[in-house]
Amino acid sequence: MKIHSNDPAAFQGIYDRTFHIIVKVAYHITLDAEVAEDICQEAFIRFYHRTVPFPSEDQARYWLIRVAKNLSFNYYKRKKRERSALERYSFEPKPHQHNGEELLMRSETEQLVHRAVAQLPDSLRSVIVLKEYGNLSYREIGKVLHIKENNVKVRVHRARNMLGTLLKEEEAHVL
Amino acid sequence: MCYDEQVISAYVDGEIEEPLHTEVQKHIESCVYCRSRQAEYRSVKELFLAVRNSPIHDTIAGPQAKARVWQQIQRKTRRESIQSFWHRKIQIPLPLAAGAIAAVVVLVLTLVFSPFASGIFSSDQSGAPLVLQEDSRIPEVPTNYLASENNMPELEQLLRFLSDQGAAVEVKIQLPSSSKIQVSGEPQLLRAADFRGRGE
Repeated sequence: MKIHSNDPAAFQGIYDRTFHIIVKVAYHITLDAEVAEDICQEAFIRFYHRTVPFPSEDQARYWLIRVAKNLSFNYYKRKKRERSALERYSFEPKPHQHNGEELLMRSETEQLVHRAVAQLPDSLRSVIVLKEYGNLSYREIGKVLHIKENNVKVRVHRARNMLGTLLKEEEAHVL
Repeated sequence: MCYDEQVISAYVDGEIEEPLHTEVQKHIESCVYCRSRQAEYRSVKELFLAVRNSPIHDTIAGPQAKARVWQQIQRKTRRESIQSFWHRKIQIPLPLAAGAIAAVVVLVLTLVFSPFASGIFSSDQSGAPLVLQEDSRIPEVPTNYLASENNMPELEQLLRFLSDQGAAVEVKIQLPSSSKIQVSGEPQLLRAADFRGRGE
């Protein structure tokens, strides 16, 4: 059954079943809850404006997750450029700003994992975020990223190896 | 023979289907190296599980956040749909547009040069302004409205009468010649009468 994104019932159904994935993926890429909500909103508005119908609800969900993932990476890269420019001119590294509540809620483990994941290349980072936070299968990740399932398996494996090394460097007791 | 590390990683994710799943499981039980790889991948995965169980992870995808984002989306799409009504682009085929313009031009020309139009308006060749023609069918006001205290009607009645008779009505209002008039009725009429009286 084709999905028309401007059909209110279809839109709400997809929102109910996809919001939690999109917002988690966006949050774990941007590391900012407010930005994650904005990205989620933007992704669904783009979805609403899309005139071409989707062949199925799954395809609509994959499209939404892909858009949110791309928006999140764009935001993250822009912020990274801004921070590096600031550091260059102020000669002093500025930590990424988070609100106090968020920082309090983050455990040491969470911060450790975030730091390690942030060091992964985008191709591995997107796969591991979709797998671990989006809870998507290899097949679904392949559909979202337009890559083969076997490629997903390879990337997840590489990401895990890299994370193992990075976490050891961070003196985490992973092993 | 050991399985590829990618297979062990996929096994940890539950992505290996039967019958390979059972074979990999048996191998891991008997192979120290593959067991250590499995333990490493599992420990990395468990760290993510710890993050998923953190309070903020529940908050960002909680019902409040969901309702908040939903409201924002609703507000924005509603506003855009209202705006888009007035900024909607309409595509008309060129022949249809040309036909519509031609029809409007013909209609205007017909109205301007028709006998009906020339009966109502007379255009002076010298460029003098258009004047209302005298029409024999124009009825006269049945009452001679004199500007006296006794028989001066309400202005509303007079106006109603005029509007009932249409636009082409000849109206004669006889104003008093003396400037000494009693203050009553509509101020505009009084002022006009006063001015005329002074002028004379």
